[in-house]
Amino acid sequence: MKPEDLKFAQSHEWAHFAQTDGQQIATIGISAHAVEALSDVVYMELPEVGAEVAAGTSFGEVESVKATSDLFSPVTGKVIEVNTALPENLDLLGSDPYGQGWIIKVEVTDDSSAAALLDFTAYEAQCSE
Amino acid sequence: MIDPPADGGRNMAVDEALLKSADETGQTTLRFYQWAAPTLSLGYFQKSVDRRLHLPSSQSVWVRRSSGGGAILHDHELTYSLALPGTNRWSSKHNDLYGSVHSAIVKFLNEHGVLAHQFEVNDEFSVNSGRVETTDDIPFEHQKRFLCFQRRTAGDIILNGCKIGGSAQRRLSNATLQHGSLLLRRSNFAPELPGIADLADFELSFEEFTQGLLAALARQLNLSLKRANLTKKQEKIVSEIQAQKYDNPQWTGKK
Repeated sequence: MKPEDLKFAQSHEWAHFAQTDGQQIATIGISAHAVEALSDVVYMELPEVGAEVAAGTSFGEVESVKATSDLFSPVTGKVIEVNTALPENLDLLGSDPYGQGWIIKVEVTDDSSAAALLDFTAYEAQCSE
Repeated sequence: MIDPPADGGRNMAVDEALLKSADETGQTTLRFYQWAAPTLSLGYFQKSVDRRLHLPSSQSVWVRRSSGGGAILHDHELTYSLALPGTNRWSSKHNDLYGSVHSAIVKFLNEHGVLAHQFEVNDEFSVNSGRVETTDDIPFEHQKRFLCFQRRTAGDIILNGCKIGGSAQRRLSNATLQHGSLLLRRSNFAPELPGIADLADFELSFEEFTQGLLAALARQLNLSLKRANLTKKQEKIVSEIQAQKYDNPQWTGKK
């Protein structure tokens, strides 16, 4: 996926929206900018398939440079798939942040938060502030 | 805030309550404290079963921290926490806080003739002296070593080749909590880790260290200090957090 095709949260998570069987599915990850800032992710904890996530709330946690922090969901819905290969292959976050570095897929149940997400140009502008 | 010795669950719950205050109200709090009994604190992501990797501390009480990094044996040591507001949890400015605090501690030690310095990545790496009681057949990269003080990160406080001070963080959307530990003397629960008194024949009481470091950190971080205690509201939050997390075996043992 190209970053120009994605939406970004101010908290640096990205979302790619697609329609599958009439259902809106969001694939979620963290931006290349965020991965660079984190510099060395050593642990990542992800939710279980079936978990409910809400826009702006934590869906997982990471550790980098001895600092732990949350991953925030850009959307509200139910987790339908988790990139289980990721915690053991955290290099993928940096080598392919918008592809193999995806984190979870969510069946969106309320898309009201999507309007507040940024396009790539706006997100880049935020990062350069 | 200077607190009397408390058990691990309360110490961690107080720090989380102070982080919550920083996140919600923008209040900065610097806290020094000790522990009621020798206590092992595991880094947030460390597995509780990995305690078996370190025999000397295996009989001590333990708690899980909210911050990252490796395990710390809190015995003859000084613990600080700094909760302060700040946006963008993944900004590199939060990493700079490690260096700022450690720089102030190093200056304080240097002023007392203790020639500590901050670790630089290109420094020659040597694990603290003494045999490490770990399971020999498990390969260890130094950043995955069980004890924090056997790991090295840029900015760690080093004395005679041994790490005597380190810090770790928990970050929320609008605030960061930085935990840190300064080893004063060797503990029987982590005999491979010498402290300042063992390495430099220099010893101050908890009160002397605390007062000196308060002044040094206030200068370094440009803080205007006012002695404080927890409010009644914060005490209630501490009790709730302690029960839900740090005294709850399901939470502490979840990893």
